Amino acid sequence: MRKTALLLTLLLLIISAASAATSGTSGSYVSVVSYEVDPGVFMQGDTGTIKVVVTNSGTESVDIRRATMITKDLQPLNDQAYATVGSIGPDVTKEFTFTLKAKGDGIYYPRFFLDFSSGGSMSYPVMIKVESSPLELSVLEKPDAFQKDVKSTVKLIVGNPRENTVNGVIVRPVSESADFTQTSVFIGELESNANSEVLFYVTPESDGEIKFIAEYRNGINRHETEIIIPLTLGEDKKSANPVVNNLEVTTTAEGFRISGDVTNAGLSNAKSVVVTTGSPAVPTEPNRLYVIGELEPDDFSGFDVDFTAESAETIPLLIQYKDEDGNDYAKTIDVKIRDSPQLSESPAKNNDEGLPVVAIILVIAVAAIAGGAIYCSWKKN
Amino acid sequence: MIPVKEILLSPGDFFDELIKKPESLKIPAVIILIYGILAGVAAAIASSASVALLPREAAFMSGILPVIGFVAAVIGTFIFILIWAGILHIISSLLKGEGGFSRTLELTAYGTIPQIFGSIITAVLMYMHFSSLSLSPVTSQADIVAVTEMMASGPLMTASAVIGIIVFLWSANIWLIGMMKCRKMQMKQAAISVGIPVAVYLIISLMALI
Repeated sequence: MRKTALLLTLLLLIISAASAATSGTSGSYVSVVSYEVDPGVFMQGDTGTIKVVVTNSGTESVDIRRATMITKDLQPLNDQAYATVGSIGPDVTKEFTFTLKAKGDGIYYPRFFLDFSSGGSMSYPVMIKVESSPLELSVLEKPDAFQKDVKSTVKLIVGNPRENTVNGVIVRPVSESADFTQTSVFIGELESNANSEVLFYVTPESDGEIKFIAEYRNGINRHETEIIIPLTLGEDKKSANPVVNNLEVTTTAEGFRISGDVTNAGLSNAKSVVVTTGSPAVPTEPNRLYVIGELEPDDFSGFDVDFTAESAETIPLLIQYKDEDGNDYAKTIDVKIRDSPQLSESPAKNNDEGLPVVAIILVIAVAAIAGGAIYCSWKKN
Repeated sequence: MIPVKEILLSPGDFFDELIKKPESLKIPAVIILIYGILAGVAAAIASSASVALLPREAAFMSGILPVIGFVAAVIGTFIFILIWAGILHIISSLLKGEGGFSRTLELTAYGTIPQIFGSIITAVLMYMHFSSLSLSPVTSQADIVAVTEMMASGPLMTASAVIGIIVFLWSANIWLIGMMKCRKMQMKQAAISVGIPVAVYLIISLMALI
């Protein structure tokens, strides 16, 4: 009994093997030697191909009636492509390529079938992975605060968390509130678990947002992923901050002169610092502009600017400077140059409080001397 | 040597001696020159302060304006004394004063010595006054009027004007005695001769002061 059961099991195994991967009579042997899936990992909705390679390792030709791919988890797009196949000669290899469209994420095993003209068939399960993880976009660097019309740098990193390589990777910025130096950056192929850095120069115009879109291909299928950065204009916390103090306004033969100090109270260098005056003031020689040059943080420098201002009581003092990238900045300080439209008296020396004692004494002394002299002249006369 | 003390304290004795000597305008010319220089200094101080009022187009005047003020004051002093002596001479002649114009010019010049001291004090007061002002360039007529009023007003300028009037009266006293001695006039006629122009001058000065 035990011997009979062993024989039956062995017989079943032989039959099963013959029906699964080979078909042969005496002198013929057909088998699947390899298969290739493109893309390596599908994304939901992707269209791809499975190429199955079959060889006849026997000594006689084998007639194939039909080849097909049977699956209910993926959608075959060319299941009638191999409705008639013909024979495969001895030591001949033949490729069968099927086009499939992925439906949902998962690991699937569609079966490859060969029907032989002589009866019987062969099937072979093919593994296909469908996984929809997109590329990842991350911001590596961006300013603490964007400044209007000041070029800033935004550094992004594009990562591929997928199991397969993606191709044709392009990152492009989109915004109605900013201009960009680059319209797009091409990365190309991005292998599994690899990443690539991209740099964009952004010149904001107003509050808004910037959308960075990474476009790529998985096989023949185009996909994209995006990241949005809010664009809020403000002051850069590390920027240079020229502060003016010790202001002194004096009159000159040609008009006015403002003297003072400029101190960089910021955390970055202020380059090409220039001090001048704006309208209604008209800069005059010898110091139309006063060039200070570079001011390091906590450094200061004195300045003198000359100008005329026909009727203004207050004029704008302009401090112009650049940052490391050459962006222009300007700071305006209103300076009062007159107490009244045209004239003033020095407060410290104002004599309006009353007749100075020295003047009274002088008048009395002169009057006394003159009176005495007149009296004396008539007495002697 | 100018006998300053004698002229100021006993002009009668001085003119009694002067009438005995021939007419000479050398010392009077020196007196007028000193008076003119002091007046020129005061004018230069005022001109220097006015430089700040010049508009940009007239900035080239800033260096020469004080010089012009000084020269004009020196020359103006000579002209003023000449005219003043002429007025005194004409009026005194109408009131039967004797002697020529040179003698009148001589006594007029000696009579200005008190004003020399007055000019020194006035120059100091003007300097103090203008130093206290912070002036800006002016362009409109209204600004010019406002600045001029400000420059001419103030306690120090008032004191300067009052001192000017006092020393002018002192000079008038010397001219009065000089007229009596040199032009051989009665006190009443001499007082009229000197009093009329002095009164006119004082009225004008006081009007300006007020």
